Amino acid sequence: MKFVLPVAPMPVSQARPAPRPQPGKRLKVGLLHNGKPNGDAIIQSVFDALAVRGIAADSVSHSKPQAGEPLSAAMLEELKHCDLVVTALAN
Amino acid sequence: MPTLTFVTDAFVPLAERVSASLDLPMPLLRTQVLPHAISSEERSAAYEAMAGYQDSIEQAIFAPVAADAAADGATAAAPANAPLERIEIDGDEEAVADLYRSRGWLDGLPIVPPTEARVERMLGPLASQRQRQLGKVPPKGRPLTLESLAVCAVLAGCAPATFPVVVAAARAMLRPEFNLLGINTTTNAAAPLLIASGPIANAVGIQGGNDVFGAFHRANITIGRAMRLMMIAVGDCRPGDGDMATQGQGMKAGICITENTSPWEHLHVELGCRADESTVAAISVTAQFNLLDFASRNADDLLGMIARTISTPGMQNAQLGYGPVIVFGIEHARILAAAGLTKADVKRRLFEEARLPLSAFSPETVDDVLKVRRPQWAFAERNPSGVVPMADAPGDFTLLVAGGEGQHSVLLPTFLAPRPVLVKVGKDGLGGE
Repeated sequence: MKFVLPVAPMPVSQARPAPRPQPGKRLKVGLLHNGKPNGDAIIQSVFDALAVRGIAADSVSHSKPQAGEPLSAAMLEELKHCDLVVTALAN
Repeated sequence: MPTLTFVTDAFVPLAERVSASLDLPMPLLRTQVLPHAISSEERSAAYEAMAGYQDSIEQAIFAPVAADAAADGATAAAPANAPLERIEIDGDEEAVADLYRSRGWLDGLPIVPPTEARVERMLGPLASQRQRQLGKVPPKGRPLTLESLAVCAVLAGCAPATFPVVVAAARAMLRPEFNLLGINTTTNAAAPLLIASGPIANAVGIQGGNDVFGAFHRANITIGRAMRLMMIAVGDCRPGDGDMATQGQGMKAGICITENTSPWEHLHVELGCRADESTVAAISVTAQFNLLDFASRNADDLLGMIARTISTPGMQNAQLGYGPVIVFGIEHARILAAAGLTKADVKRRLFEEARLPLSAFSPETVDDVLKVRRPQWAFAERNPSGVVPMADAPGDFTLLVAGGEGQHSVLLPTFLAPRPVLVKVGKDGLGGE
């Protein structure tokens, strides 16, 4: 007897990686905190380390009010102008 | 733009699914995995823990990504709305369940095997639109076709007559304001509560009386279960493997209720529909808390009991805002309505009386949660009274009347989808008349 499967295969991704930042360029880094405790400490630590190494020059910081809610359009618009975004997911 | 994402190891399966839904299989989404759990560490320890990752972070930022990595994580070149595959299975119905369960498509209950004939009966007049897409189911982001939904409904044990409600429920849950990505993946115990209103509810056997939340009424539980199977199979989300609920709750099996005879207007009328229109509303709730009061005889005493009972700092709307659902038993609703109170009156009274002092919350909760989520109540200069209501506004309470005779009501805190997301059913679930 034939049975119907509940899902179809996922389509092949057409995505390609974003261009990597050029080595030597001092980066404007977006820091996106998901709202979970210590998430901001993690991404701030990354920024500070990049700054010490001369990689990061400037930052734009945003915090989501709650991890489970999507990023606001205004935050996304501002982050679009960064060379790199650092974020953290989950706990 | 290049993005570097940090994720703790316990959440890697979720990160994989979300990246797939963004059309960015994991090799393209640069991640750095950390040992779980960062959030419960001292802040200084979390900051200093990153020191060991500096070289790998620099490499992740500047190292090129192999172009062929784009194909990883995809299984076949299939159009988004391809017809579903049929599979020949020899053996009894348990063999079907074993195969489907081995592929991660089921919950823990027995199934009705989805033969072609059963799926056709479920689709009914929608069979000619079987490849029509209703949206993408997170976290994996697979497209949901009517045929895929019909298979979930058959597996769940739905009667074909309920399929319009199943279709409408899926449409409501896939609306952006329902935030199914958050609800399907959170550590919270959140679960969709579906409320069918209007003629369709009685027509297909959805119950609003005794044991309304129990596992007794076929339509109530199978419609809800069809949505859960959609979240599992199409969304690719299982316990600890995308669905990160710490403990979950019974309603995650799936539940669709209707309201009982009420002294007030039903939910869909309150939200602007005609009484003779059929609708399905979805709202996200956590486990129910029984509100017992079999002694109070007047509205003031009863409302006071309920207001004081729902005022507790661990009730998530106290911390996160919006407001909870109160499902009044019909005896409680009669006492309130007999005193001349409308739904709006009850909401206002609960808003004014269900309150806690800020001192009821830990200092960390005030600083890290309330000041972020509910700043209008958490800062002394903005809230000199120092008391925090259990909802942000009277209208953020959702009131329902359901259940049989008896002096019980129910508190259902909400999470991520705190307001009912309502769609009209129409003749086929797609909303058309």
